[in-house]
Amino acid sequence: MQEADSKPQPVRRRMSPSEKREALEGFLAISPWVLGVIIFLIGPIVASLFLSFTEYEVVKPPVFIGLANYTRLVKDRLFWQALKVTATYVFTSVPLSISLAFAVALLMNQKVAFLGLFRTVYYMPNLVPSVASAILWSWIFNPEFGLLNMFLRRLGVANPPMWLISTKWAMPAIIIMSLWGVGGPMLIYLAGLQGIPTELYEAAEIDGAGSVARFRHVTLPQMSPVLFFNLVMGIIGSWQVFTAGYIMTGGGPRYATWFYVLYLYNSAFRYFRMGYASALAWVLALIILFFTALVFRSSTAWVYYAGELKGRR
Amino acid sequence: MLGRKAITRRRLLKAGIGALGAGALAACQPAATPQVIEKEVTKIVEGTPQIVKETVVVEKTLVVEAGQKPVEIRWACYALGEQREKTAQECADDLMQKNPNVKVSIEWRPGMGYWDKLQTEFAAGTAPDVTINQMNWVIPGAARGMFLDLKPFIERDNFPLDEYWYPMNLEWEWRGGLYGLLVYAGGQALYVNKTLLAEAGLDLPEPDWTWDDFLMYAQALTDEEKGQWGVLDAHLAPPYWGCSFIHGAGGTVLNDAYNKCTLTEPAAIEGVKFPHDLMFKYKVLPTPAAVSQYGYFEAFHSGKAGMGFAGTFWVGQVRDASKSQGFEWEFAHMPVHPQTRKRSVQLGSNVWSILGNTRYREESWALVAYLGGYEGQRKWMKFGLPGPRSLVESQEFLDVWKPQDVRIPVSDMECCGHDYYPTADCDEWWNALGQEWGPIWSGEATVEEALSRACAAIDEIFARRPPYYEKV
Amino acid sequence: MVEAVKEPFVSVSRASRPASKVGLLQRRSIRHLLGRLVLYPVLIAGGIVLLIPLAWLLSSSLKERGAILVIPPQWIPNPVRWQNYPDVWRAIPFALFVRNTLTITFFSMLGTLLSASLVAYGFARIRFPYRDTIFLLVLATMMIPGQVTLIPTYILFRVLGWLDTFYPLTVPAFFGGGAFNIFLLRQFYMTIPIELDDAARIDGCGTFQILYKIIIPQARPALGIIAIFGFLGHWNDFFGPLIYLNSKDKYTLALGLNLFRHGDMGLDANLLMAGSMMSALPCIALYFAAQRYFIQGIVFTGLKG
Repeated sequence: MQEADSKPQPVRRRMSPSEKREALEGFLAISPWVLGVIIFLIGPIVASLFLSFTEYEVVKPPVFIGLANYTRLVKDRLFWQALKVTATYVFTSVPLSISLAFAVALLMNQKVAFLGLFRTVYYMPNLVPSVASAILWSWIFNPEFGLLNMFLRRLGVANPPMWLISTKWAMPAIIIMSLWGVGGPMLIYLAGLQGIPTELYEAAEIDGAGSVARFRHVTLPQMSPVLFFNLVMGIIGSWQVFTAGYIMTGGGPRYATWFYVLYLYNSAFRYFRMGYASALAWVLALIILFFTALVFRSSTAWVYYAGELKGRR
Repeated sequence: MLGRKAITRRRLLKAGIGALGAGALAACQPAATPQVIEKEVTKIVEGTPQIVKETVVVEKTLVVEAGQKPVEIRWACYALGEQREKTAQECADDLMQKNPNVKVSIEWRPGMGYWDKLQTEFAAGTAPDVTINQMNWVIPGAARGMFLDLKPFIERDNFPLDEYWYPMNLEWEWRGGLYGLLVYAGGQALYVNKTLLAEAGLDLPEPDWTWDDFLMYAQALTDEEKGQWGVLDAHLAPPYWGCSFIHGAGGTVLNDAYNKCTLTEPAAIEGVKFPHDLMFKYKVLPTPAAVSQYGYFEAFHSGKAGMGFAGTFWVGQVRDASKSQGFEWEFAHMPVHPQTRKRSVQLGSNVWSILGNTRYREESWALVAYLGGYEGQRKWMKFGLPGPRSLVESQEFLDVWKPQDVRIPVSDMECCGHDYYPTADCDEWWNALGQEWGPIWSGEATVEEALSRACAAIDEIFARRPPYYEKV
Repeated sequence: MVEAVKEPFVSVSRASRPASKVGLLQRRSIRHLLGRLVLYPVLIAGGIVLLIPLAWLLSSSLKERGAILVIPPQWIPNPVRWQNYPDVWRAIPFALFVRNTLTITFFSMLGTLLSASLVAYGFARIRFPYRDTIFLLVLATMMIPGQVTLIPTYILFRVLGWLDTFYPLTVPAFFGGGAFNIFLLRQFYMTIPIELDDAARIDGCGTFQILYKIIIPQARPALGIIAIFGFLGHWNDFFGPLIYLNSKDKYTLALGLNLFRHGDMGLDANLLMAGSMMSALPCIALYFAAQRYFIQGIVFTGLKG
């Protein structure tokens, strides 16, 4: 079954000259990134780790305090609230947006009149700067005059939710708003769909596969690398959701939309606690890394690459 | 004649000032010499020329040593719109003319992220020299050394701070130091729609009207069918306009030392219950649900609210809206509490501050002193209230704000202004308060519940304060 | 399921065609028609939902300053104020901001396309020790929120002397172009069958020639996406230019539009909306043109693209 998996390799083995050359080519290929990390990233990242062990009030020099930020974090009820809120967001919006974008991309992949127009319309929300769209959505969610509630009232809903000022409905409102950006992943799916060789579909059809079977056995496997991408990027991105909370709700009401990076930002630039914010950042990075690694591990089971080259020959 | 004599005396004085100035230059100390003069000026007060004595800071002329290099100071501010930006440039030009070795370059920045950028620049040592400042930045920054204490300069140069009617110490002082001079003064004002008042058969309210009268007016002005509201107050949360009801009832948000929350006390609870009743019991004040998210005063701008609380700096918007929608408006006094007879309004202005790590203290002080002094305040008074008493009482100023009577909000602020509880950790406890405050107005929490939760959260924050956060 | 995932239908005998060809077609065309009857309304309804906020943006941009604050909200501005658009052009140096934004966007896109296509190739098609671990590190760089690295990065650029220049906004793009793009291209490269590489190698191509001749042409849709996302990202980028640019004559459009907010002292909302519309138009036009070029829908010729 798993014929593409390589046999376990001995840990140390001298590389043949061709392997050495290939390794060299590999390092050469990734050298721009490595250089970039050395020049632009290593310093700030190490600095932020160091700062997490200090009390740094931004406009005063940092003071070393050891693990105090981390112990404070564990006892901080706002930290746990932020985790809860953000996790809820992640585990709701990521599956929703991935499947919705996929469905829309499948729709867009048909031969439809005005296809270009449709694709543009569906991508338009992503063309509006996030700040302007946050303002627009604040208006749409207005409980009295907003479009959404006026529409719901038209449908006969007597007491439509108060959306952004309700502790129960603020988060759903933000999730709905995040789905408006479905055009981004949709575009990536579209590009992936375009890359599926049509002979695969033809051959499947000839073999008697109906549209559902074609989807299961051709589309999904061929799209799995792209699905994997959107899933991983969805995880990394949604754990760091920020603008909606910052612009629209300020984290409220009663911390209902108290996103993790919002708390981090407030600590860093509003409460003069950059050291604590750095500790928050590293905890978040570990959390995201954990989930990403999980998905990576699972990917050998469900992601199919037509052109994969495993690590060693 | 009085006039002739005055003019002659003025000419003499002018010559005297000139001689004094020349004398100072001739003395030529390396340090800058301040020049504060008591001037006698002829002013038209009620139709007759009269001599009025004013203490004026003659713009500082910095003495330049031979061979001293020209100095460039950076003045940063968020975009203020065409007119204010023009005024700022005029001030800069004026200053540069009087001090040829100083170049003032103004950096107009976006408003969003202004504070983030300023902190970053300060941390890296590339901050500007003078900046606009606002209530949730000044004391936190001052407590941490981000802004320069202006008191030494004020005392050395005899800057006429006592001539101010506006209580600078309440808002901008921290542990005895003063950390900014006014852009212009401002605070809470009560706007009333005269047209709607007339339609309801009401006269403008009396100066000492009570909360009960206020309620009556609001009820008369509310018309559900027309979608008209009696009163607006979309900035209720402390430290904004909602505080005035808390204070009027005899309560406070924090204790005097600003280190304990007092919102759970009966007077404070009563002070919050009043707007709560206005909103839910009498339905004269719209719920946040009914207030559009687009701005915060639209119903008044659309001519759909009889009264509304907003800052004095909102006057430009109201003027525009009244012209475009065709209604007349006027200021009204803050009503007094029927039992305590207390009246309270919130103060709220902006200041110019000098950054703590500036390399050019004298030059920055020259700029700030100009802006906060007589000449600067005079230039800015078409946008807001000037600080010096002589200006705020002058006919010139009253004329600028015609046909409304700006003395109404000014007198309220002078007698009964309250600060916004400045502390070194404002943003943090205001956020905690705001989180618990919101559900009161969406109906998800009662007033007592929410206030006790708020106090618990605020006291928790205060308990973790390092000692240097304390006011004294 | 695992079996199916690993072995798609690649080689199938063409001899086994169904007997009743006519019947199948008939059924298929009716299903096709039904599908269209469902598809169009769904697409149109979805499109309308997505467009409503933008319609509001357009409507606001044509209102008078006093009128924009009116409730209940008016859809049709009365009067319609086309003057807002030239006003924006006058109120801020719009053309200058556009030029600055174009410069930054162009160089960033150039750097990204050049370096990401190379770096992703290394992770996708070349074997070297610790490759997959290093790739996880690439992703890890996206996991630290920028707020905590802002000040050290700012100090770094100060030391380099790049403050108040375009360099902090463009030069890093030439060093990999960002983890997002590297990841995306790597995934797309890995969907290209390895047989193509092998064939090219037999023809005598070296590793990097394969990249240039085979991989990049095959990955055109992905490169198109990177171009689109890159353009949009830099066109609308607010925070980067905010932090690193001081002189107003270097400001980008995103910063320029924010000059319509006057702190606590008001907001020229109608001008802001008009400016936002003008800012969005080139993006819309570019996207419309690009998606036709890079993403062509169902293709009936050739292996890919």
